Amino acid sequence: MLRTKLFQGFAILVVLFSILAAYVGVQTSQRRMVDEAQTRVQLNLGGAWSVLHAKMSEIETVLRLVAGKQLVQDLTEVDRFDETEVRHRLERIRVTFGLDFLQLLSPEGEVLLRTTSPYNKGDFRLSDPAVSGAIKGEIQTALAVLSPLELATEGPELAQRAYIPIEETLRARPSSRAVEDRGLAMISAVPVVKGAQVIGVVYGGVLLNRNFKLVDQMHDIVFKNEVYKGVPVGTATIFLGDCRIATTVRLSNGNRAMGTRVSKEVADLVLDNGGSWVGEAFVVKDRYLAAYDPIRNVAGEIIGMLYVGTLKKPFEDYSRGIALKYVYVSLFALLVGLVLAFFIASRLANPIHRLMEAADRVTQGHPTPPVADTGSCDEVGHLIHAFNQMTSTLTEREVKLKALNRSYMETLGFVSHELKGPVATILNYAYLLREQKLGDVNDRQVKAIRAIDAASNRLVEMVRHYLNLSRIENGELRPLCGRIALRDDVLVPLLERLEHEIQSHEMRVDLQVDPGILLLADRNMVLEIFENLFSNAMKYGRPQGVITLQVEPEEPDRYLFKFRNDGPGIPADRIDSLFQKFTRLEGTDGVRQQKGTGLGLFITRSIIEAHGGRIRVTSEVGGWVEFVFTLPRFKQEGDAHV
Amino acid sequence: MAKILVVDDDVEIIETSKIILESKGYGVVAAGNGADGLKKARSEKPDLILLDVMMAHDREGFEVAQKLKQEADTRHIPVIIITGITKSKKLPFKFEPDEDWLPVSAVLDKPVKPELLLAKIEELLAARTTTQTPAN
Repeated sequence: MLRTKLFQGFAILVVLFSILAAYVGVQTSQRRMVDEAQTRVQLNLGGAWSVLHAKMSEIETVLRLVAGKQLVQDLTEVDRFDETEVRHRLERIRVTFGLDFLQLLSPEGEVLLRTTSPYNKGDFRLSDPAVSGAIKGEIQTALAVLSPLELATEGPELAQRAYIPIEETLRARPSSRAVEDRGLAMISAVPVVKGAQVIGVVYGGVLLNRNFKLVDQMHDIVFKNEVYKGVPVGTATIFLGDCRIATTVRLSNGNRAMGTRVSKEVADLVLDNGGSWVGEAFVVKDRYLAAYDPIRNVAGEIIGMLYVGTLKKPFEDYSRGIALKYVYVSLFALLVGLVLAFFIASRLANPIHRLMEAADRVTQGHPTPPVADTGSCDEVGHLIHAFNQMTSTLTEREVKLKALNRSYMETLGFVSHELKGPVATILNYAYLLREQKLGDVNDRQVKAIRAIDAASNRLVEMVRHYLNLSRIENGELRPLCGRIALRDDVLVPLLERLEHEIQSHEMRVDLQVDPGILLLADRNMVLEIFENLFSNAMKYGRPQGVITLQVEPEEPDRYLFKFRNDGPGIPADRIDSLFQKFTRLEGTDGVRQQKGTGLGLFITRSIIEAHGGRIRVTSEVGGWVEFVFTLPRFKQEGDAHV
Repeated sequence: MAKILVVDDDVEIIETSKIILESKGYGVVAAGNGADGLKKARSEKPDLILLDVMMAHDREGFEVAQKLKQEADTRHIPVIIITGITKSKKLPFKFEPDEDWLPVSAVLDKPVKPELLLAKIEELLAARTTTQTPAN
């Protein structure tokens, strides 16, 4: 169907475009989301660095303050420098400003005093690049690794805080170490200057191992304590080497994930190559978008990493939300598109459908009103207009043709009728000659008279047939039905008339007809039926063959006739054309070519159908032909029937 | 021998019918139209009338047959109507002998084979003698 095809075409287009739009939309939004998330996590890392740098500059400020104090300036005045007093005062400063250690060193690098218990002194710290830098008069603030010995010298409390057992971690680099006992610290070394001379160094700092305050502060400042569905949005971690020494990442038991290590791929990029790592990471149990930066000491060596990560789920959900919106919009567009496609297809196909139906009606010969043009489009309008014109021309022509055929048929009827008079005269003279009423006739003349007789008989048949054809074609074949006794009114007189001819073919007639069979039919027409069937049987039947007629009642008010004659039969492919006008069987398989009008069976069928009956023919080639037909029964009161 | 009146406007048919009937020993009276036929039916008292339906106009034969039936003198004469029209003209009745419409003894299709015509005449004349003899 055209409409279905159009609709399918439209629908495929609509679906394809919807899918394409949804796909492009989802892709674009997701890429945009990933870009956005990465930018954001990089900004977050910048934020974390700011917190770290602020803390370091705070330390530096405190140390510069200490270096400027008179108390420390008096370092070189031996009589005025009271070590206990100074240590006491500096320890108070250290505690007040939250430093983990604070020392005073000589220009030679010797530790003059410590402010942490047990207040060890006298060791040299020249190997520390920050210290040696400060001795040269430069302020040094940096991140640095403190060895276990240094931590222990500072005091047992610090060494204990730095001590972190290393946890077994999936995907981390293999490591034989069981413990991280070094410390990562923010340190500052400030020279104590008197005149142009460096008279000492103030050295202090904050240990980052287990420094939860700092990472929590980073988290608070960068992520504003955001929580998404019960999970903190951001995490921050400080690594010493590849080991977590301070983190906001929690394990499933709620403890901080201390001592766990970074994955190998991150360590390879950041620790070994000094790159920044931005990407997706699986942290404990959630997916994070993570950023790692290397941490360097004064000498520029990589000693650890700073990490921030932001939960991926909000981005994913947001992205999924946008994608869903795209899908909903696409679905809506799809629905609207399909409905539109349906209407457009209908609108395009409807006039063509109407044309098709009208064309079918014309083909079947029914009268066809003009097809209405609903103005769908120019081409279809033209087609409808052309079609309507064609139909009206066709109708006009048909009317003319019918009129012509009618007048032709009337002429045929008239001519046939006019032939009757002359034919009657010929028949009469032929009779008189044959009967020698006009004088003696010799043998050759007898032959001639027989030929005239035979020709006249054919002429009679032709006149009868053409008159009937004229009636059938003009629709004047209207049976005037009455009560007919099949045997006595039709068959007996007919066979009497045909007796001579049947005998000349040496055929035998077997009538299995009950004398009580009464028909409700037109007697002349029924005579015509049997006249044609017998004539047919004599023309095509086998000489010395049998012609059989059987009649049996058929429900509810008809008789079924079976008229059979022996003969060569009719090939199956010829049976259909048998009842058509001007059909004569051709001389095949020894069947002799017969002279006739080719109208007998056509008239027979027309008469039977005019009586509301049907006729068909069955045949066995080389055996017999049987015409089976029905005619209406005359119903009598109390007629139980045969 | 029986006397037969032939009513027909076709001279050839009258001529040949006459020879045929006379050859069988019948006396023949001929009339060329309906009026003449009626007159001769009254005056000649034929034993049988052969009547062609179509003469001057389509229905002349029927009218003649009906008039013959109406008159006491001619009512008993059997009539064979020979028709060339059967149903080609739209007549309101069947071509069967009928008391009202077609008051005749037999209807034969034109052209009639002489053998058939003779057989019919013989049959009707025989029937007439058997039915009329006791009355006489």
